[in-house]
Amino acid sequence: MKQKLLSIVSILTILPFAIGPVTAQHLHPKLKKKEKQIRSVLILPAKVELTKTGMKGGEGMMEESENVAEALPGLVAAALQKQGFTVLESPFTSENLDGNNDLRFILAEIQNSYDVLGQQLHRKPKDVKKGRFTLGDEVTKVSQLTQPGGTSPDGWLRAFRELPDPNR
Amino acid sequence: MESEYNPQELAGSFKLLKKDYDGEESDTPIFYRNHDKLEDRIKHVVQTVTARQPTDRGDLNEQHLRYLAATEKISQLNTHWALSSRRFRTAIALSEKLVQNNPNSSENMRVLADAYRMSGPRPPGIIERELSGKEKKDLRKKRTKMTLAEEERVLLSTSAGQSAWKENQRCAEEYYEKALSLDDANAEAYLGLGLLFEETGKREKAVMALRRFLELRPQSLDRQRVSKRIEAMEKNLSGAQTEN
Repeated sequence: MKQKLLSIVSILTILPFAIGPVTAQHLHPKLKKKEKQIRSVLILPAKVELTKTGMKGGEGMMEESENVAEALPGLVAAALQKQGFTVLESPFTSENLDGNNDLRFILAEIQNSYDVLGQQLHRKPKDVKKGRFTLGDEVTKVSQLTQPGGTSPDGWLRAFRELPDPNR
Repeated sequence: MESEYNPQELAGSFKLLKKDYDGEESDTPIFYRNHDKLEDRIKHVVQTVTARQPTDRGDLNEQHLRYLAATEKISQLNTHWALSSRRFRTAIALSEKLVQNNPNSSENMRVLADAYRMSGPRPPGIIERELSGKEKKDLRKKRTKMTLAEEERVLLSTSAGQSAWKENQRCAEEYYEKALSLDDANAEAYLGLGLLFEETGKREKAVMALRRFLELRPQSLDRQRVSKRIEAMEKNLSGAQTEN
């Protein structure tokens, strides 16, 4: 029977294409003990904010951020598929989101849950190993959006990474 | 004025910068909140608008009501976002305003009930000692350090937290009942009531309310989690009956 992993956040602290290979990985105890397994993954649209920092302070890089945000899910999906995961078709494509307020609302809700929990996660990412973090059962809303295609995600993945300017 | 907006709302937008329901403002408030001229600006706008606006109060009230009706849905959403961002007191303040403006709306009552339920063991208003700089700093620190569940556990271990939780439960139940008396097909109110009963250990009532929610919203995206909760509670109930 397919084991579903709900309410468990597993965090990769580095993106696959970021500088160098994966440096740290914190697994939830249930994943470590193989009580649960992640087989299928849904990648949420990336939120990318690039900022140029100079003598005058920070300067937003809107266009570049959008370009990276667009390309990122594909790159992550390819890396995960290479590792043997099934990457589910995202219901949150820009065509689907366009004009669909309900879908946008659900996406904003899930992203916000990550952001709120992110405050503690950023402080102590190692606590993922203690099973300290949960998004609650509201994330099942997202899994239902993918079910018409037949498979629901076993887990949700959110990656955080600050990329320093290589020229600095 | 020509666009039928109540010009007093212009001063209202400046006043919003001063609001801090959750005591988040630090000793050095964000830009504009501590701006010396903010008070002067408010005063100036109020004076200018009062001098220029038409004296017909009937017109203004009508405009105000139209404005409130047009922004009701947005305010309900704001309450939702305040709750999901752990700004419980902001949520209560916003939803109380909604109920005050339109007490006959079942949805407004439900939103207020949600705000009380999700506030858990937190007192609904900011208490005096929390206004001190040190206390505000501690609150901010706790918010960053602890997850929601951890924060609630700590609060529930105090007598103040216990009594706030009881009071919030009572208010939430009262407002859910009011919401349902205004519209007995308000599915979200059944969902909230079910979750409240579940939290307070009234499992039979919780199952009934959640089942009613599923009847009214069979296609809801919440159906999976609600069904799982019903299943777990029924399992517990049948387990308890077997033991007896």
